[in-house]
Amino acid sequence: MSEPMAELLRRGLHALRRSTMWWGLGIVALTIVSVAFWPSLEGTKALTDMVESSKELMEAFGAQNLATASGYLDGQLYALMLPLLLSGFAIAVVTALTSGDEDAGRLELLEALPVPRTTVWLTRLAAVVVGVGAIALVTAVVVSASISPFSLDGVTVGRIFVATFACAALALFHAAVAYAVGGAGGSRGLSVGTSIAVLVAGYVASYLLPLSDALTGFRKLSPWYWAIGNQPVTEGLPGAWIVLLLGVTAALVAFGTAAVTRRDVRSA
Amino acid sequence: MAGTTFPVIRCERVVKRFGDVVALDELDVEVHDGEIVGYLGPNGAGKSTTIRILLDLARPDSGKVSVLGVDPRAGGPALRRRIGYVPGELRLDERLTVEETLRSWGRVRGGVDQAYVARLCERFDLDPGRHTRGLSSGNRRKVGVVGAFMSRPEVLILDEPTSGLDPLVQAEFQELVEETRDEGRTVFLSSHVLSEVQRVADRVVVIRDGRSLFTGAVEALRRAARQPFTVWFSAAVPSSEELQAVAGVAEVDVRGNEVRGVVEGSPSPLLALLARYPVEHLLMPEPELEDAFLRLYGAEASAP
Repeated sequence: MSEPMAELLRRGLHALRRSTMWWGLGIVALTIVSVAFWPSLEGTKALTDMVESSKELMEAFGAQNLATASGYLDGQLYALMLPLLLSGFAIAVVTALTSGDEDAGRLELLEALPVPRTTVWLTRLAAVVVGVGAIALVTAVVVSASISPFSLDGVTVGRIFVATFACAALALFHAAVAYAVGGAGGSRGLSVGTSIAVLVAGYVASYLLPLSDALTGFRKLSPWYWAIGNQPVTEGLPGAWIVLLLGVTAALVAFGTAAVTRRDVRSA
Repeated sequence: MAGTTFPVIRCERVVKRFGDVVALDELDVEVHDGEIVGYLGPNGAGKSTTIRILLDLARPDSGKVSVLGVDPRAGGPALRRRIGYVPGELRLDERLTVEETLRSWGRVRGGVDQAYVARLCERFDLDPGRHTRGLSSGNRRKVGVVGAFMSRPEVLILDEPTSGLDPLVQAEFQELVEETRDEGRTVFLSSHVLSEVQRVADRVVVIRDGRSLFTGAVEALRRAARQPFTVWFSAAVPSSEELQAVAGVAEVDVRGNEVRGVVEGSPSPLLALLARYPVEHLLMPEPELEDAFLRLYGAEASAP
């Protein structure tokens, strides 16, 4: 890596230090609380009764199978909370570093330096990839380390890492949506709004529409499904769909990067 | 030295629109090798837009632009390596200190002599250890100026570099700009205040509403500017007729012990008259730039 690129990446990472730490702490805390409750909930009738009495509601949260440790992890973390929080983090930081910094006039000086504009944008996205990856890694390690102390029977370390990094891939897909909008000249508000809309629409298509049998097919249109399927810890990932997710993510990044060279830089 | 007349900056019939607003309307600007050129105009005249086009931060709708003979877009990073820039609105990364900020720019630029950076900071009395968060606008501007000069670029393009700087620092800045010129490098600096530019610049380009109105020596502009004055007398006040008879004085308005007017050219005859009266207070503010070039270009300038 060239010196200017390394410096820009370092600046991006430096800017993300705090937010990554706080989001990471929050996500890890939620993870620990969730797994720590498993031993006391395992085998109790309360959980299975809850699922039985409101099956559709539980399915809407990906929590239709709370009787096993894998199903519990899906319902508590992997089907909804973790992808949602990681995506929220990714959207927040990528927009802060790209469209947000441009709105605030902080990109102008960097883009007047002898580096290509695309380098400024791509190094900032790379910093976000590192941040999301770091939180995912810590989360996967924490859950894996919890398997034996909290008797998460039947859960494997491999499954946990795959599921966690699939959630991270979904987060980076949403970061790429925000990046593409910002690259094309959208403000921070527009980038955040668009990516949140895609996030919510994907959730609806993946979890709510399939509650009606006729609309189950819409699941295949959801980035959520491409990334984590339905029950990532219980069932594993839905095969090659993750390739589609990564492909669309790459295309969005390519679009945003190309668009940023074709326009004026907003002045403060 | 400034022997050649190679155009370092050239804008030919440059048009830039923002929606319906025409920011630059067939603008022509030319700056030669080894010159200090002041780029003057009221706020909103299109100065920053021009400068941002030179740095490839904005793209013109039509017309030709070149810096060091190269189109800014085609020149890309290689061209920008030869340019030092201070933006009009300088927003710094507030997580860093002054030194970290300058070092970071230096690493992105490459080949910056840290000893020279330290000397520049010292010259401008800029404390490298301070956080950029709490800096006054003047100090922030100094960071920008040091950042632009630290790599000793061939061309300096400075957008309002001296606004917010106190007179001592402005004098230091002027010296630095003159040294830069004496080394054969070129400086293009904008301002909306004539006095900030007239001491430094060899030539000025005046623009209004995105068109160049005047290009030439500072002195020509200076002579055209009328100096407004207000005088308060403690007792006897000279009569309106007496004042109007003084060479160069016009628009006289006498109200009680307060007299207002403007003086063109040397204020000596006016001062000679005033000396015969008990002057309590005399105020002669900065001449209006607008007034100067409106008078230079009269009807033409006010035409739509």
